[in-house]
Amino acid sequence: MGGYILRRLGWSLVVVAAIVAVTFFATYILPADPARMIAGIRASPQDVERIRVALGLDQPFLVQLGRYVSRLFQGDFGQSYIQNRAVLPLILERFPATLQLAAAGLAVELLIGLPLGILAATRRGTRSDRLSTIVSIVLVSAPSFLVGYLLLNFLAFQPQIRLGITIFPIGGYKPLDLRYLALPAITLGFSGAAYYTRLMRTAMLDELHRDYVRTARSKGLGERAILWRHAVRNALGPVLSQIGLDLGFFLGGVVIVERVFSWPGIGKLAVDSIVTADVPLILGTVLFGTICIVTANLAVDVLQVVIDPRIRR
Amino acid sequence: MSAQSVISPVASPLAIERGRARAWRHLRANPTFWLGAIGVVVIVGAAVFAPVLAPYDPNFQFRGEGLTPGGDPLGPSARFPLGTDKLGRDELSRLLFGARTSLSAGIAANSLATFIGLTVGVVAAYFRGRRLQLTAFGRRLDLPMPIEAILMRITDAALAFPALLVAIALVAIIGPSLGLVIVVIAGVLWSGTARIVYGRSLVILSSDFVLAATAVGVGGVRMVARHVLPHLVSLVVVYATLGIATTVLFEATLSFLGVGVPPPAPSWGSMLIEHVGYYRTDPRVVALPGLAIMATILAFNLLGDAIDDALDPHQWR
Amino acid sequence: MHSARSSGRAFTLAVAAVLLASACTPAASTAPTTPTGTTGPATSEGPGGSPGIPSGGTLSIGWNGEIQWLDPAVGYDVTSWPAERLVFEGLLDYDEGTNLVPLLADGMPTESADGKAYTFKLHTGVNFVKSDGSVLRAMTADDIAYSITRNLNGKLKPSPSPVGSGFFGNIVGAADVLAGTATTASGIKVIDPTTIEFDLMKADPTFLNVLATPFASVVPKELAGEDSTAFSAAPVGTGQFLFKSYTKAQGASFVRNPAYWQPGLPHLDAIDYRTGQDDNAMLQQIEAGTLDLMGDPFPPAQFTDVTTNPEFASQVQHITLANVDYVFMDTQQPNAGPFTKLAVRQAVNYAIDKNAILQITHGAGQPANCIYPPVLPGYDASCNPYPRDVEKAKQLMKDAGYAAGFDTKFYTDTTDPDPQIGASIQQDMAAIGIRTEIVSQEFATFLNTIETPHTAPMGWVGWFQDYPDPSDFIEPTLTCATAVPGGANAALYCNPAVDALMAQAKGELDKTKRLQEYQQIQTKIMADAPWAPFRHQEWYTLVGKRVGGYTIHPVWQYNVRALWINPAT
Repeated sequence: MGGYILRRLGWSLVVVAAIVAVTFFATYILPADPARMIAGIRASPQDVERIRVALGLDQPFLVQLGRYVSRLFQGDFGQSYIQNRAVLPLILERFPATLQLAAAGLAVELLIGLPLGILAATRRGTRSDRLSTIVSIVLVSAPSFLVGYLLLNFLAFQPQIRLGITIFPIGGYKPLDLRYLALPAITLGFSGAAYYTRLMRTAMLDELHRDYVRTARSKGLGERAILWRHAVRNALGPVLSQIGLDLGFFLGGVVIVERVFSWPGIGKLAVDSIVTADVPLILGTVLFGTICIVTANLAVDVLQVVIDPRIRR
Repeated sequence: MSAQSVISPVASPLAIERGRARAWRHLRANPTFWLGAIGVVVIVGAAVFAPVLAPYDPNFQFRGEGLTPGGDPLGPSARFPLGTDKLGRDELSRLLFGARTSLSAGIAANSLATFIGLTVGVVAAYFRGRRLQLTAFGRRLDLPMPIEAILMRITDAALAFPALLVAIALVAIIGPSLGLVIVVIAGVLWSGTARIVYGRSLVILSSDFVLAATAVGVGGVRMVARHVLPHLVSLVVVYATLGIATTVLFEATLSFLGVGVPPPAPSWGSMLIEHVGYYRTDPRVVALPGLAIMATILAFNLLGDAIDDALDPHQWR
Repeated sequence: MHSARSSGRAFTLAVAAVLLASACTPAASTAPTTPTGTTGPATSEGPGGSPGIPSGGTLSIGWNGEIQWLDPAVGYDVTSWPAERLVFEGLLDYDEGTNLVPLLADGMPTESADGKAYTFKLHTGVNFVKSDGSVLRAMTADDIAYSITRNLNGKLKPSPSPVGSGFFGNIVGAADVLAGTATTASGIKVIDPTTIEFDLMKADPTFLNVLATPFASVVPKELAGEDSTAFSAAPVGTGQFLFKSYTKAQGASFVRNPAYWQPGLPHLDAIDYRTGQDDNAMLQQIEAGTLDLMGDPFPPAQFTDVTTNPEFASQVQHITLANVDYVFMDTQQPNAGPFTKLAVRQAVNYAIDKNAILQITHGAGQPANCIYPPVLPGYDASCNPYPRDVEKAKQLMKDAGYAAGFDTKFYTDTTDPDPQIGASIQQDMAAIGIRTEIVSQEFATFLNTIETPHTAPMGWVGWFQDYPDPSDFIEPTLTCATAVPGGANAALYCNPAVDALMAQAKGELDKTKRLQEYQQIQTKIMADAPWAPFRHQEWYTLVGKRVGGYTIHPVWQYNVRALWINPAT
């Protein structure tokens, strides 16, 4: 098993390295000249040149890449051009906000998705099944920017204007404050919920068609016991891996929802960095997102092997 | 939307024929299918016939009469059935032409993604476990062929990309255009298809009839074309239908973030973001393009789901 | 400074000269050539300390962004600068307009005959005050010298803002400090504890404007070392307010400095600085009375709703900005392209519907017929060479040999509503046969595009003043010297005759005559039509009901010295 984990780890590093190289190249060909931007519009060509040399931007591509990578190994993600601060702390200070949103969004996904999936599977072919399918398709079809603005309007804005009461604030962030967290989390969780419904339904149907269920039934075990003690529990396996992957994905930044709700997370930071052509910050946020996803993949794979060593190939 | 249910044990060609007939019967009886199909027909119709249906040039700004004196959009009226946008352009015309942008991006990107995904998935599956045997310098060489490993590792890497961020960064760097949006979306989405096709192809390649075909000497391209691809058709149809929903959303998302199809071409995503500030005073200009996006995605999802459902062997037990 | 930002974003950029501003010209200035008297300290507070102004209360200000630094040598963004100004002060400040007045200086400086040396007397009795309200010690000329040199110190972690260090590069010996070969600049001379002299390499009256930027704020040597992060977390200055705490994405708290050196100030007990706020949310809070000011412009879509609502009539304020928005055309287009022809450029000028642009931007501006804005000395109301005339424009196109029109690209940035303005101009161009494809780029990329010769044949951009003088509108943008890669001359306009006139006008000492010469230059440039100016922007804001003493400040947006809270509301 150790060998397998090492191989997976090695591969993860290769993936991260490839993505670093690709993003670095993309920013290298960025038409906006960072030295010019830092120097300002009326700086003399000498000033621009001085800054370019100071930042090492006059070096060939491979030298720049090499320097960047060697600094990465020392935990140095570089210095933001625009904010004049180290990139890693900039990302990490946004992390709590993104973490809260990711966790709450995931909770919403599961709270909506799993019950609907179980319902659909146990009442397969009935009206409830069809309804839950349609509900999940509608949810997954609703773009989160539309859902976000509708929620903002009807749950935050209208009550304030028409009734003078504040149920939810209009965007913004306070740590661990449910009133701020609720609408972004619901928006984030809506579309993903449908995915869990389908996943749970399929997994449950597979389980319910297995031989052991038939055996249990023939032994006279109650439907409820079969459902909860066996089918649901076994069906949670694929759901758990999906949770891991989702979490990794969310932690890398939730671009749309953070934008709609002015949520100061990593996704908003990333988009802002792209808008201002802040190259080290673009690199840093993309890299951070990749690391989150790769780590989650790795963790899920390793966990699966630990639970069921047969998976290893 | 998962299409996992289509990955099921492979039936013989005859069984597939029978299965298809049964699937079609099942499909016809499913109201979801009709809902989705009608929706898709309406939206495609709107896109195709936009020049006929639209009352005005979608980019023409009605100066003066298309805006309130304060410079805000007009509500619905006899002249402008769905009102105007903040530049005094006819909202209905823009919505109709927006369907063209969304669908052309959706279909083109999705075809590209499906093509790449299908190729990578089938090729990887075909070469799995194969070794290169040749005679050289009078010795038999038995070399491993890592084609499968390389392709699937690339697929894994593509899946690990923070797709949206990379897409935004690329468009911001190269500059927005419809072509780039299509390429970027395809570049992000092919890997999902590749994984599914790969998994399914492995099952097909290990089935009895393929083994039988191999035994009588059928191999290479001919084997793939005659025995593998036909069995992938239904899977690809489902995936492509659901994929259009995904790409339409992705295009709208890129436009929403300001890196989509460049203005003034009507795109639902950019129509929405350009008017987002009006969500409190005139929700119409936000909701209309938003609902158009949602209706399109919904129609394709319903259709794809119904097809998926009809092909689901669980249904026939 | 170049900024394509429209009405909304304009002010923040104009004020703090954010990110893209000049590295060698100050953010705003009156460019006084002679020191203006020795009025008392800081007359800028208006009714400061006078009876009748209520004292007390907590004022809240909302911002989109975060405070990045509370260190004058490092911070340089729209959210940090106003926060720095609460805690720190420098030698000079502005009055309610753009005139320089002394703050920590005891009167305006004396200037040497060659204009290369300024000597300041310091106000006495100014103390650094710690965040607990206790006095650290008195401020001296050594602190001023140290604080300004700190902008040049490469050992500062992180490095000083290149903009700030650029500002002080003209001081004798500054280059040595920048290069790390000296720790003090020979041109900064402490004569005695209350006298300091600055020697410059070249005479430059705008140096005084540099001294009014937050970069020149005074910090105590023993606390403000080379670790900016540490100092930012516990900043100490001589200002009206003391820094208490700051939580990212929520806000910072500043409280009254009980030992402030100027009696009667501040009027407020505390300032609640709310960061990371959403535009719509801030606007709504001001309407509801739970927020007093917003630092960022209010969302354009809410413009009509707010400005026409009688309930807010007394709370809406606006100011005309010293700005011009213009369409530029590449006058040196390769292969004798259409824009090398004067008739085509004039046709563009005739064709633009300026009122349509004003309408889609809710009337927040005035049509621009020439270059200089109405608020600028030298504005010429009679200058209107190209009143809208589509027929004439078509005729000119025909005369130029483009009866069938031509295709070209039109560049804008992506900030709302700038692409919409582009779309409006696109329709005007289509009417005379110029078929444009709009290319909108993120601002940083856009700026690079228009500064790279022959990349953008046509586009629109805005110019905001760095200091109120006609030369600031044409020298950086319309001279041969700036028609180079990296130059702000997007039209690549180069007319040696106009260059010569500019050089002459700049040296003219008679102010009236000088302005007349600049008006003639404007007429000449407009005759060559490298630009089609179309708008001068206005900036609008909504002020909370209980705020007193607020007028939009042309440099700082609001002047915290004048603000008070009406206890009755």
